Amino acid sequence: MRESHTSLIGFTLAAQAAVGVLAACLGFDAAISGETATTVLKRGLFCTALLLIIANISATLHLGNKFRAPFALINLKTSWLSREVVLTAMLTGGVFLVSAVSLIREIPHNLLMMLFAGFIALGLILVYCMSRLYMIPTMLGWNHAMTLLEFFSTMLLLGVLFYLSMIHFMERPSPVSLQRVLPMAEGAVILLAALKVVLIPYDMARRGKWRRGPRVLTPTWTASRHWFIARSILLFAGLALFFISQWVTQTNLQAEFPLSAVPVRVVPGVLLILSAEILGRYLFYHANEKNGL
Amino acid sequence: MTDQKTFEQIAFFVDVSLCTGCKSCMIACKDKNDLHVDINWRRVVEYNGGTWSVQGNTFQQNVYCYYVSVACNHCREPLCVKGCPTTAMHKGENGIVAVDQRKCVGCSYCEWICPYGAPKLSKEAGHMTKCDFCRDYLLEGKDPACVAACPTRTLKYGEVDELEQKEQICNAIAPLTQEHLTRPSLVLNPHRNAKPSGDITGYISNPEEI
Repeated sequence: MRESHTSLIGFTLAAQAAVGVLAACLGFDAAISGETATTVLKRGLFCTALLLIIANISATLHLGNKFRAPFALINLKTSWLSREVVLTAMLTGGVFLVSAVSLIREIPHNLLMMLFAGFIALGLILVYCMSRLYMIPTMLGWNHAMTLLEFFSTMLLLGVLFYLSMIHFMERPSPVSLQRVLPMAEGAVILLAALKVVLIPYDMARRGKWRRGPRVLTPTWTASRHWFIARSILLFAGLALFFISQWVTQTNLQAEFPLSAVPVRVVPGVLLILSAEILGRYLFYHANEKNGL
Repeated sequence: MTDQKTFEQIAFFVDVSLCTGCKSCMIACKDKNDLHVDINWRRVVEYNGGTWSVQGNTFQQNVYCYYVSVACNHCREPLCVKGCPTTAMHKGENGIVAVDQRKCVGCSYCEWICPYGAPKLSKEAGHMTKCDFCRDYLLEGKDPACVAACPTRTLKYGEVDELEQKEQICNAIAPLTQEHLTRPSLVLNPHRNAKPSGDITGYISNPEEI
């Protein structure tokens, strides 16, 4: 556990965010009416494609020999890693194909929704495989249902966060049809970030439990406990900003607080929560102990 | 030249009670395989523990230390083979777990999943490397380098079933993990102060060497 793992942090976060954006697009679709709904789905598709490009580049950078990457598709029978690679390739291929087609010709909204549902199903299996490959008996901090919870909650949180950023910056001022979905997306961010804040002490306790057990090689967890606290503060600050934004909207105080200015309203909260998630993933890889040598 | 040696499942035998921790096996392995300074296929783990107390006018102590020489254990149910996405990690002749260097992508997953941390990434070559039981030496009928270099005859090797039939043997002691994870082809004669796997009273005192 001495290497940097930057590429894996990039891959897991970007891939989970990509699936989350697809889920958010479909989840909030009913709240948007008219042609804007199709536009949002298409933008969501492009946003997903961009995230998948980052994920694929990061995954490739992790490999010692990049040109042999296709060999990683071979061992589907027993290897979760191989399954993850295949699903990432399928999802990337599918999203890029539909994105390309949507540039050339109009795709009906219902068909687009069905394709999104298919991609989400593929993405959920991908995130499950991603979680399972880390749930190995030799890694005490990972071999736990918390890994599943951590990955799926990150998927949803980052998905809604990117979705929110996307619709904020789509058209300014946002069309009326989007005004309904903004508070819903912000509410979802608040709920998911609150869930993350609640999960942090459990995560710390799980890792700390192993620290109190066998005396291990490196005091990684002990050295990292300040970063766990820093992560909580970042998440809590982001959560507070979104909460204030919601409160101002609900109580019609926009005149006093100019939160309708998009960057003020969204950017600080998004950056804080995104930083907390990156730090969380860093801790996932580094504040861990191996069961064995 | 002696005859080629063949086995159904080859295994190392480590007589922990004899090991003095001289690390000749480590050096012989490194020399034979021309390993990079950061990579050790065979490592000698120093496991220490115990304490002392004052009872009346005397000091009582139960301090212990023993050495476990460990490399790849060519497990009978290797997690590295199961987890490898490319099938580069495979079980070959004599039951040796080996890396097919033409297939390996160097993802390091086998290093995470192996309880013994046996596979090591060669950053220069871009693929995983590990103990191959000196296959070339076995083909020539010679002993593996580590076994040949051991001055106290701590290290031996042979057919796993035959080694396991010896008395006072086990497959795992602290700091090695419990054997049920991978069923290692490793047979140990424990030190008299050896602790069972999962022991929390001792610690590894040379982490920087392994």
